[in-house]
Amino acid sequence: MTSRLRLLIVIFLALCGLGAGQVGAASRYSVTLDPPSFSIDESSELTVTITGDEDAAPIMPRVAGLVINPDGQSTSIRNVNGAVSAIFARTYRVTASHEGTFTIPPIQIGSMTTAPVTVHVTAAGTGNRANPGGSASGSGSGSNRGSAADVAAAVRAAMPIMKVILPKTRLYVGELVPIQIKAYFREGISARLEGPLAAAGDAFTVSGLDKRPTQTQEAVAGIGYTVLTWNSVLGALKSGDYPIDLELPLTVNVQLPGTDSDMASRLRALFGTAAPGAFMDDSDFGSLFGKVIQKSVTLKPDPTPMTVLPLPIDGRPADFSGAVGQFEVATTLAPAGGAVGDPLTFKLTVTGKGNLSRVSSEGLHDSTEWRVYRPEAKQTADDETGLQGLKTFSQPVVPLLTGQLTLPGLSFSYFDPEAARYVTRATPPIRVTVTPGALSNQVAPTLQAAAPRDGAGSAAGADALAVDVAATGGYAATLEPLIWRPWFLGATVTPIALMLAAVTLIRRHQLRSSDPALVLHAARLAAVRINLESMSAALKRGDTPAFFSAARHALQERLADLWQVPAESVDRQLVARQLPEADAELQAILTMAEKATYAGESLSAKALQEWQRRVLAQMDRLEAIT
Amino acid sequence: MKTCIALLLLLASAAALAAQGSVATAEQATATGDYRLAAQIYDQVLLRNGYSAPVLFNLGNAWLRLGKPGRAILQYERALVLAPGNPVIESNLAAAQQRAGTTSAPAGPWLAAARYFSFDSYTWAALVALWVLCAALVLLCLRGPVRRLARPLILVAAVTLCVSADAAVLCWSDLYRAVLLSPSTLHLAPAQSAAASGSVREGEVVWIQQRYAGFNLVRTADGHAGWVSSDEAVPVQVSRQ
Repeated sequence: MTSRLRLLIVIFLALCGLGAGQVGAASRYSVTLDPPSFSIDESSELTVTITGDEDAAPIMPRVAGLVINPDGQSTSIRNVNGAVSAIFARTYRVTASHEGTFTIPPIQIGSMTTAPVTVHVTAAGTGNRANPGGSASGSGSGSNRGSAADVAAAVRAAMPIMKVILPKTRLYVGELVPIQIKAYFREGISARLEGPLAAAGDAFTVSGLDKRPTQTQEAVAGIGYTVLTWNSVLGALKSGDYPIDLELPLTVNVQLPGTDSDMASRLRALFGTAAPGAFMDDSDFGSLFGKVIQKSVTLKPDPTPMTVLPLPIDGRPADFSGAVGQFEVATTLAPAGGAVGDPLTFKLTVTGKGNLSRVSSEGLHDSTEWRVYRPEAKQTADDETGLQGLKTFSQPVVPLLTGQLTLPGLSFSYFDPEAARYVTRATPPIRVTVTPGALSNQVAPTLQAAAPRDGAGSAAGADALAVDVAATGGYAATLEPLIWRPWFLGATVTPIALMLAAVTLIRRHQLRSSDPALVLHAARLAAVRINLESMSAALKRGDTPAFFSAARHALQERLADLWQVPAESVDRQLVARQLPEADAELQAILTMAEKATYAGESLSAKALQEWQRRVLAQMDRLEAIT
Repeated sequence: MKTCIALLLLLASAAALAAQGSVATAEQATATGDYRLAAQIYDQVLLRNGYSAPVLFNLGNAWLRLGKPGRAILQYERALVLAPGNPVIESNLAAAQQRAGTTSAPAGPWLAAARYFSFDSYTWAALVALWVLCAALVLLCLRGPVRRLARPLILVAAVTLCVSADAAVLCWSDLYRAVLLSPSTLHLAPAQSAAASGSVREGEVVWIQQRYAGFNLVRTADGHAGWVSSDEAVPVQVSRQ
């Protein structure tokens, strides 16, 4: 509840006539040191109490040899004879770096200062915290306050008590035992838990402390107590003698003597805050009708010596995994049978009381009959503390063969702390009927159409596999794909290259055959060749006119091809114009041709041979020109 | 020349006879239940003579009976490369996968149809179709009656080439398949000390994405990827061992 809300409540109460007064009519300051003397291995609590001025912040001076750190703050409302005042307390933790007497100078709070405080620090182990009350206090005016002893007595009386109830004080390492932890709070004392109950030290584990405690009312020696109870499990971690070290941080609201507790009780009843569970943190009501101080304490039980024994080495089974307690084991298989290849579930169940978390099993192992998989563990607690329960290891198993198969039994070892010896539990083997299954119906005799050879693999067929086949046929040098082989690229590129080459040649030929100039050229060359052959034939016959006629036509075709003119237009005049330097020989041949053709001149065979040589020489000369 | 040919034929016959003898010994060992001896002999036969679907199949059977489903699956997968779609091999492969606790990656209808023939069959068909197509294109350039043959040849060759190429593309990932011979850890980097990114089961089929320093970067059927030792993930389609 915020301070503003508290002020509203006060104003409301004042208007209702239940109380009247003013808050913070006059500011007062006081300083207390509890205890004023402490050993160097202890600390003291310095409290600066500010009455009436919430905003005033103390400025803590530096003291050589002392360390003063803020430790918290609290607020309370006091009603004294109708005068309501707000009290703000700021707490500091004081520790010393060496022995001696120190003086904390006046602390400045706003414009006021407190009285100096003397601190006595003694040697380690000589502290006297059981003698609180020697506190220094001051007010805004610097005067000491005389009620410190009463306050210390009230605080001591209000302090709660913690007890640990154990079934036994001798444990084995790894053993778990149930424990009850009880915190007793005197009736009328309100408190607030500042954190969960926690186990200190490394000798034990205490589980279940994070759960909400049960709250009951008990009377001890005629005094009523509100009791918080934790039902937990204690586990021993290492051998030796150790006390159980528990810590419960809480804040206790202490009602100081002379305050109006009856009015507070009536208000609690009026507003229903006296219900079970509400005893904690109802300081607001208490603070309205008297002075309540908040005390932060760490509650610890009285030291209870425990003896933790090591687990014996002798007789320790090889499969012992650290389980301590009392356990039973059982195995099941579901379904109870099946076909080859069908997965079945094998379960190993360990039930009992003890450290189930240390229960482990490797389960079954692969065999020629079974293929097994890694087991999966699942732990289930039967009670709230988890001390009792069961752990199940589920393991898929697959039969590999048909017929009556056996799942072997398993053993599990643990240490029984009651009997102080190791115990090994074994499960019986499980007989399983395995049928061939659907796969065996698909078994074909051979890879090819040929039947398998007798003997080879006929016995092996009983395991639901297709039987071995006769290894006939060829062998492939490699399983490497064709495309990864070096020659494949050549085999792919070659047809494309050949096709391109062929198409190129064909197209070239076709282009040539479709060109008129090329066609005319080829025709003239053919005519030259034919006329030269005719000339040779005429020579053999001795036919002079035919000889010169053929010679003249051959020359005409050659010259017409050279000059791109019609063959008929080639005569002596044209030759004289086009080839003046070669005129004489060509003119002679053409003149002789005319004579032989038109004048009927006849020459001897020898003369014709000479004329043939001259014609051929001119043809070679013209071809060279071309 | 004739002497050389005769000598070569003699050597080939001798090798074939030796292989037949070894296979017979392996079959005898299988019949007597000595599967380890049978597996050793079949391995030697493969090493000497190359790959044979029946030998691979028998070797897979031997490994399966020895409780090594990973090795069995590898041999069955290799046998299926040589004899695709063979129901007997597929039956035993399914049995091996069941024992290994693995399953074949589901294949779509097109991929399943494409796997009716082997990848090399499609490669051969495409290659022949390419040659025919090229020849037909040359014929198409010529004149005369031979030109009439070109068009149907081009049609047939082009269809064959397209179908074969499509089927080969569908089966392309099969070329990179590998089988885990033992349960393995997928590493984030190609080193045994690298952090684990997952695990693969014995006999699980994975696809090799990359190779580096004795490690293969593999992808599993469910999309996980990681590096495994190349001794553990063995490719299905390889050269002679």
